[in-house]
Amino acid sequence: MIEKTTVVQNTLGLHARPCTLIVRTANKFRSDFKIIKDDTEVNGKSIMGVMTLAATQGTELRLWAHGPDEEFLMQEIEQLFVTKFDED
Amino acid sequence: MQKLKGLGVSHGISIGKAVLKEIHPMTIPERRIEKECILRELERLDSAIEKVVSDIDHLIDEYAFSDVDREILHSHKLILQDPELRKNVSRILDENMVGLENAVHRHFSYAIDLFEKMDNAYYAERVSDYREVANRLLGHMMGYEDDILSKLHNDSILVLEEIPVSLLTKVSKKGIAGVVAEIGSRTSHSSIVARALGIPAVVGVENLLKSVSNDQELILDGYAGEVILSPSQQNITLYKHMIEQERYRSEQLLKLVDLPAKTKDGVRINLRCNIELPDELAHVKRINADGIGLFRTEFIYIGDMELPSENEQFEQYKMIAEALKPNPVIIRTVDIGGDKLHASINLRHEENPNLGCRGIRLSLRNPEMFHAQLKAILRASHYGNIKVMFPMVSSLDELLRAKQHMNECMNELRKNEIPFDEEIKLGVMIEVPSAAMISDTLAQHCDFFSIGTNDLIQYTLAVDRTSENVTDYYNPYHPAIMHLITLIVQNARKYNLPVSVCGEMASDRDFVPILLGLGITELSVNPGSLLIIKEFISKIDSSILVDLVLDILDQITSKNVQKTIVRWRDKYGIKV
Repeated sequence: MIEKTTVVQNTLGLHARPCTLIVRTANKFRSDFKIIKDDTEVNGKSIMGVMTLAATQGTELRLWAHGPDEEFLMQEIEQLFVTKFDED
Repeated sequence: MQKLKGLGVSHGISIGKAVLKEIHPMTIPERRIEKECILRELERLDSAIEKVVSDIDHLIDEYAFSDVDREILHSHKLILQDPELRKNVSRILDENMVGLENAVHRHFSYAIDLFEKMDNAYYAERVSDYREVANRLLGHMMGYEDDILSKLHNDSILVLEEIPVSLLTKVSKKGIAGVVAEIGSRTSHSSIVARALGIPAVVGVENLLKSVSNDQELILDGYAGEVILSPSQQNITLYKHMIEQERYRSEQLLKLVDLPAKTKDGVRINLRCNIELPDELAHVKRINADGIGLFRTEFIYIGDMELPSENEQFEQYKMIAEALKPNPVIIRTVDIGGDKLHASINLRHEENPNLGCRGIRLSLRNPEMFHAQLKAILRASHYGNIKVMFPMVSSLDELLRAKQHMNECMNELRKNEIPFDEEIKLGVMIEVPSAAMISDTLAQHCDFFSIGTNDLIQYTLAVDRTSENVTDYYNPYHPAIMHLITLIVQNARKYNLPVSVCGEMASDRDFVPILLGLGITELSVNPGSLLIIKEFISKIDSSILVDLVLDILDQITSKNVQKTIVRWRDKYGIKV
């Protein structure tokens, strides 16, 4: 099990496109993946879950992954946040 | 006569008779189920999801959607394949012992409710996506069939509450004039498909079904998003004329695609495109342009955290050069202004970025970034016909320094035995008045000029294009502009230097005759205007242009320049 903290950096926040990217990426892996904002926890492989976070720029999120390929999953997801989902 | 407003989601105009499709509200059956049926209900869910997903896949395969529209369809698939959907429905079934339709309905109502509560336009938009997906799924599970097909003719305008995609694909084969719906958004599947099929459509028209009756005459304007009920004869004539014109224009223009751009007397003009993104390549190819006259490279620098690598750039340039070979692709090195600065180029804020460190100034100040771009361009030149040009050059010194960098890059590639076009042509964008004034000197140190009229006008007339206070002063007809362009062309001619024009003037039918009259044979325009300009050029005889130019240069006010153009056109019966 691994857990990391990240911050939404792109101006528009987690709108439809970034959410789609996160969910698509997470679904490539077998591990479970959750995103936690404050005390809300959502399934990171669910588009509805990720969208309902409504995370705006500057929001701090905890990423949680558990499973056989958790490290690869985390690496790719973190990369998405770091590159601001190719936006801005 | 009554006019209803809605959202024009698929362009086009149609006149026809209303065919109403009765509303059968989606009544969700209130079934109760037994515990042992849950598994079977879930199997029904799986197969319904599978069917709708494969329907969407089918749509994606069958129609040529725009990238944005395809993205929407993919996102709808994601909603269907959401693991939470199945989990939630399963829980609802288990807890409430209701029928599957009811459970699915509850799941989506919950989701829609969530998104509706978020006060952010991005999420509110998603409501329409969830509604669309829910309707498709429920519609499929409850097996709606349509009996309306037999009533439709090719002058029918289908009037309904919401457009089911399945119906739209069926009616398109029969041919109908248009569709108008009470509910819908730009992202509804039906809107997307209507666009791909070219069926004019207006959606989101309130009180539509209450206002329209069967066989009522309608005009549907997919541009303005309007429906006119029982239009007057005058209105019908007006819209018929618009339809005629639209059809005639597009037919005429399409005929030109495979013909070379030539004046009436056969002078070949190179008509190229200005592009901003590699995605525009398909359009450029479709209209058969003579290459790319201005490839803006800013897109590479905007958005990423890191500066783009040489390799990333190389791949993009190479792809475009290969696709358009042997036609030229003129790549302009980056022209980022202070307004769209890249995070990694640490520049102090400028009060007036248009007069600040942009274009070649920025490149010269960031040699590492400049070299990466030049090397990428050089390497790509091996795979097609690439030329380079520098933006915002205002002195000879800048040009010489830029060339020095170019030489260093070439030497490096030679040393590493990386192939590139040794004869690659180097050009200067003439868009600063000082460059125009010394164009005689610049011409001796480069291979071509490209006149960027937008900036040339802005800098010559001291007008900030974005300032609303001075819009009147941005005047391309200004005699100073006419004289400057003439000067540039004359200086270039002394050294047999090719000159092209890539600003908005090149796609303005008021100025094209003047530019051609000056002897310019290369114009670069936006892809959307290319065929219109091609058609216009074919109506002009080059022998009548010299007088026009001489006449224009005699004028001392903008108004008179404009009048001279109109007078000339009238005299030779040239229509725009």
